[in-house]
Amino acid sequence: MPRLLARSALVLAAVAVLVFLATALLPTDAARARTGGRAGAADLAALRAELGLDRPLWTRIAGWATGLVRGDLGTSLVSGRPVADLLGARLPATLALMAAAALVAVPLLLVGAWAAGRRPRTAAPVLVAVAAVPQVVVAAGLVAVFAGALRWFPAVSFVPVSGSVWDRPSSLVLPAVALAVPAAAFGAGLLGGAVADALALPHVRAARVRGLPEPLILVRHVLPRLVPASLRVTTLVAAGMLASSALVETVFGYAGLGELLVGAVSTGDSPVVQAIAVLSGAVVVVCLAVADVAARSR
Amino acid sequence: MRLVFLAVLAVACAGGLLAPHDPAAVVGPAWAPPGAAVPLGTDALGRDVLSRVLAGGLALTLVAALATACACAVGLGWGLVAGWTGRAGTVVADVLLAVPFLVLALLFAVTLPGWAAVVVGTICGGAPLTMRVVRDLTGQARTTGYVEAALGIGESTVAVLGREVLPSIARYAVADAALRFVVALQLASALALLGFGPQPPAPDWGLMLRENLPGAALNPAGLLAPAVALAVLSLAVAIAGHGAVASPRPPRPAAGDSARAPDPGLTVTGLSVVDSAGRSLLSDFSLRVAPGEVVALVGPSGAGKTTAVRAALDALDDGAVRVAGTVRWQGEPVRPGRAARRWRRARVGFLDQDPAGTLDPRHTVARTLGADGMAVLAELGVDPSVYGPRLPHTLSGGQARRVALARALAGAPAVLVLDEPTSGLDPDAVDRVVRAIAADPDRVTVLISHDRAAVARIADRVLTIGADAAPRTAARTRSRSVHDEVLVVDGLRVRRAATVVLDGVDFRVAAGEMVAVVGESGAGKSTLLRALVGLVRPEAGEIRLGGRALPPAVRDRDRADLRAVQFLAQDPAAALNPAHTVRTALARPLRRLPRHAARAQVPGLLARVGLPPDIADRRPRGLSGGQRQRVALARALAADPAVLLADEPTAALDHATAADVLDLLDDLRDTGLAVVVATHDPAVAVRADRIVRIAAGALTDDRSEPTCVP
Amino acid sequence: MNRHHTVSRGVAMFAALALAAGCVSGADPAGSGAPSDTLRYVAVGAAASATNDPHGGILNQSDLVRFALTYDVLAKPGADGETELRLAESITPDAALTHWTVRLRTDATFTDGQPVAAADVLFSLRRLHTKSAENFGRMQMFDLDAAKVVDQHTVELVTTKPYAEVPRALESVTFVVPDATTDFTKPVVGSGPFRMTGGTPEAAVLERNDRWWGSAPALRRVEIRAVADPQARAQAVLSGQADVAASVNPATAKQVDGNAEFAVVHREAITLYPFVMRLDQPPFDDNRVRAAVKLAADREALVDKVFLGYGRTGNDLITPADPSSPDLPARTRDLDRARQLLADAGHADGLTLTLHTTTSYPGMDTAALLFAEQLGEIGIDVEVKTAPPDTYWTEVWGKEAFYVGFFGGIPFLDVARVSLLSGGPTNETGWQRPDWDAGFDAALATADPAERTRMLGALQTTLRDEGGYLVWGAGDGLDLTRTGVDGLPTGPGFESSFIERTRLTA
Repeated sequence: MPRLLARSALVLAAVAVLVFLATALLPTDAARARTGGRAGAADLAALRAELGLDRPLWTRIAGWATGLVRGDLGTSLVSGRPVADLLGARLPATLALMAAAALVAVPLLLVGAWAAGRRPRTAAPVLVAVAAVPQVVVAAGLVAVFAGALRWFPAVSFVPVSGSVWDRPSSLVLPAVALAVPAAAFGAGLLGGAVADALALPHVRAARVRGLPEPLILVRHVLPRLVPASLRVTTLVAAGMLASSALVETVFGYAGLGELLVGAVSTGDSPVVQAIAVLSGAVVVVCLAVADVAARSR
Repeated sequence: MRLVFLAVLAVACAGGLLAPHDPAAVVGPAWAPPGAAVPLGTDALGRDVLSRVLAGGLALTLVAALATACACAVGLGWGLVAGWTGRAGTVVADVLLAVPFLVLALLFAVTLPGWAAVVVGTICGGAPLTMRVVRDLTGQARTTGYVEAALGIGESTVAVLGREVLPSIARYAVADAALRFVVALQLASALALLGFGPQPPAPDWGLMLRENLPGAALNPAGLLAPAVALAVLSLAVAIAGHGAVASPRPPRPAAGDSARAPDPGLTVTGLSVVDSAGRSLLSDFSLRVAPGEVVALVGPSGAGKTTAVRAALDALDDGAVRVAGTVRWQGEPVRPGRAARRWRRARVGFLDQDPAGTLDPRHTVARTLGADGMAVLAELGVDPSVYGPRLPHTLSGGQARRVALARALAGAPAVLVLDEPTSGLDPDAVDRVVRAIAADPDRVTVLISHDRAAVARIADRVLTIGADAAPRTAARTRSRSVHDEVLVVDGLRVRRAATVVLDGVDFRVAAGEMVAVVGESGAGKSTLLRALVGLVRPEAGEIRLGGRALPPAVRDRDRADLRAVQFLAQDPAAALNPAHTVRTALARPLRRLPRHAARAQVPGLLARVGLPPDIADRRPRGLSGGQRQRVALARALAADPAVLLADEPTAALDHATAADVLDLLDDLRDTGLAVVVATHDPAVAVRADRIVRIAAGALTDDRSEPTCVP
Repeated sequence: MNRHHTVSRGVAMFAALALAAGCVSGADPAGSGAPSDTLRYVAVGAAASATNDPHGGILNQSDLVRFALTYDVLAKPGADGETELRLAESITPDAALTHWTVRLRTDATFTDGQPVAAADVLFSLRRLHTKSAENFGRMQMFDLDAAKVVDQHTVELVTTKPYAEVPRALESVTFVVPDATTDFTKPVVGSGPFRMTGGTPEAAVLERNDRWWGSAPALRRVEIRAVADPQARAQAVLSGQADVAASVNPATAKQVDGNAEFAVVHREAITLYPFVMRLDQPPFDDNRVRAAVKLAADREALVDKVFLGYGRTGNDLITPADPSSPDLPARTRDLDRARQLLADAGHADGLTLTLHTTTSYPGMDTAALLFAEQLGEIGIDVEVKTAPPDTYWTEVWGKEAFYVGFFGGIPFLDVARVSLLSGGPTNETGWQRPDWDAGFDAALATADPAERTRMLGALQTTLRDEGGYLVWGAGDGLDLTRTGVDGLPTGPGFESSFIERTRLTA
């Protein structure tokens, strides 16, 4: 257990450093973003100094890390607002979206995996094709059909200015489905292999010979073997959804962390990017740890 | 299906040749809806969407294919290494997974050219997935019999990974590649959407998505066409991936004849079975068993006994299909499919030929059997209180067989079908089994066995399948001169899961000698053999081969040592790599010869063990148990060993074949081969020069008459 | 200057508008049923750049609109192009045009009750100056150290050179905040027609400020939301979740054409995607080449394809919407003359050029592609290179020889100050003409407005004929509204941020 904690901490630290370096290597920085590229070199340098962007990289990340330990997430380089406020305002919305997407994704994943394991020749390619449709088109298609033609759900999912997203839960449906469907299709494709392998095990085949019905075989023999694999696949799917949440949030105008991350990366707003990256990285690390513990206890 | 895939691929790559207009030419107003000249309408600049879709796949397909290949290669290599060495190496994978992908993707996109960004991004996103699963599969494969066998003949790690492990996980890898392809395509279109991909005015599906998004309401086809193209391409790749490794579709099963006959008991009429390639495995098989009757099926191995009973139960696998015949129970026909399944569950108790695999490895014996089963187990001579909490892999072969039999007997089935119930059991256990089988007077029992004595005791009728050569009763006597000792064991102590199984074992085998090791199930016979071959590390003691001390672990032994001591495992199915043909399996130990020379030896090796040469192209799935055992023996012999350690070599063989094998061993002994056999079979013990017994951890010479092994 | 948020453009292209044409119909019946005094305004902006600081870099249009509603400015551009005084009652110069007396209204108060005083104004202007790197040097023409508070409601400003257009200089982001405010991480009180009562900078709730000195707005409440994606903004209005969506794509406007439930407000001729040629790099150092390029443009076709017809053709004048923009005969396409000029310049057998563009604004890349084809007709072989939006403005713009630029309704004086004067920070065409600079200073030193306009016009004419800007057209800014929304501003530039006169009639 302590080894697991140490390892998780190491992974998280690596994530923070990697993201910091990546953001620093991107061509835009906050000073350029704020001046819109139409400021002279001297002014740009002065602004950089004011924002602390002229310090060497390791100083900057050390400063950020010490701040983090103290509980201070820093302030946005672009707007000066505290990062904690920015994140705090958007975190509940993102959690709500992720929860809704998970609610949709998990049953789809299980059904898809079962189908892919039982009939790999037909179900698995269909899953792959679904996963291959660009996310943009999935979102657009959902809007066109369910919001445009059928008018069952709203076409954009604004979080009410006063109140939370739960005041209008129907606005969560389309973004959640747009997130869940490609991720579930992909995850089911991954898990399908494990299901097929489980079904080919001698004692599972023997159970079929003994006459056990399919659902019973599924529950008693296949599902328990799949727990480590499904936990890992769930982690992958969750990571994938975090990644594509940026796109979905932009398309639906949803005020979540994904949209914030995209904007922050574009403007080179390091503290915001770091905070979001560490947060989502922590979620993934926890899921991985849980999956490893489950695998080890078998 | 393959044609469809190739057609799609051709259109994706060369579709530009089919385009009605120049993809870069303006043919109308922007975002015109579909019309006569422009079947899919126009795009943002007024160019023909159809032409652009046809021409837009080449670059994307090539880049995605390259990215997929790289990601799979990296993931496979990484997973193989991680799974084999057992070292994690997954920290990097976890980090890659935990970093927000947007950041990584942008970083690659701005620092590398478009296609390289897709490749690197797919590797980062796809390889860890492949790595994890390959690692698990490799870890499992590492402990299988065929990998152990390969290690036992001195293969290097790289060779084992490449030749044994890789083919057995190939099925997964190819099917999985399709998913990496999807990752690559999604990444490529996402980068094109962000502006990092191919430059306009190049037609490219990802670029088209970006260009046509704003006007999607005016001409939806501009957005849908590239999306559909992407989906179709992925679909084709996925179908190809799965289709390439799946078995061809089996022929449809025949409906049956539904005329009623009011006979009680089990009536099987005219069963015919073909395999997935259409070859006949069984032809017009009929059987009638009245209630209370026990019918035994005997015959040479490979004749189809197991196939026949499985066909009757509608429990065929591996692509074999019943194409004719009916099964009736108590006069009512049992239709294949759901009805048969229900009938099996309600009425049938079945013991598989290879019972250890049929027990769920994660359930203890007690959980598998339940209370009824435990009671039966006690009757079969296995102490429930000791073995109840055990897991199947800790049981000996005989114990596992009895557990599976107890499961079949529990619940008092009306139909009992047993495939080799007494194989590998000591005489006391055989008695108990016989008693248990005969216990229920109304039961219909069908029995497959090579054990003539047991058959004689239980069966009311014997049905012979396949030509059966006359049993040889006379053991060949040979004069034996004592040769030098080739294998010497001193003071061996071996533990198995914290209990000491062998202690202070002294043992000698001379060249040309055959020593039979007897003892009760679980006494340690297999353990002794495995310790000698190096698969189990002894706690103390020394093993010497030809005067030289042998390192106790197989990986410390050099090639010559490894070849000199060959092991024939008790479980023939697990000893052969399911992905290799017989020819490949036999040619492996002959690696020192050039390839065609090695393969030329294969028919000779097969003939030595009494197998027809056409077996060489089959895979283990297509062989009967006896045939598998003989192939494993042939493989062991191919290495030209000095000592052969065999664990129940004749267990799955019929009498005639067993005699043939023993004759073969005799011939080999004349050339100096020393043979140590662990066995319950008195026919084997009779042929041995010496018998030693293992009991309570000690090995003693057994001077009693070979025919009355107690 | 109204600068749309450039940075999210890359992801802003991920759109979600695939409604079949004609399926779009009215407001969501289960919608919020807004009362008729609340305006739901969806503006351009991204959450990551939303700020509370009115003097720094304002990357979001949503922030700009919010500041225009919650703070007073000294003056604003009027709908007719003339300066409209707001907080300043009068702005009068001395004879030398260097000392300006700004008299403030006496009835302006901040929402916390404090009256607006000259000290507040001076503090705000000085703060604006210290942040000049982020706001394009708005106060650059002033020497604010020499400026002083004369009395409670009078400020005296000093310019470094005679500057006749000080009112115009002050009709910009001169948002007035209380003196000595230091914390801009939270919203700061203002004295404007509305006050912020809730929400965050990217989703703000404003309510009418009853203490405001001006005539009370018809709206009681305004909700301003920042949404980066143009399609999402349009969808908000189309599905009834918003009343106004700022800056939608031309395709959206075409889509609702003829639909009685929606209307499109045109802010005429404000979006420019000029083709920029650097005068200090060959072959554009020869004016004949520049002229040939300008003659080769098929301006009608460009406006049709890029703006879908919503706009007008351009005459290579850099700021066509500016009042000082001269009225000149339109430049027409003349391929023969263009070829002749090229030959005269020594390129009779053609040229090979690279035209850089990006995807930050809708249609930029379309314009480049189309123009490349048009140049092909006079023998210039053009390769179009699209750079990603994040790197374009830092690595291509202002550096490469031939690329697509952007202007969004900025007044001429600002353009000149930033991009045309020799000492300007970002002289994107390499326009170094000391005599032009002198002419500019002279124009600004002219007290007579008509004469001044004429002189500025002459400068623009020179720029048109000899400069490196090919302004082929100007697109309309398109705001999508539902029917019943009246009074939205239609002027160029900063004027369009003042939405307090909007009223809902349905």
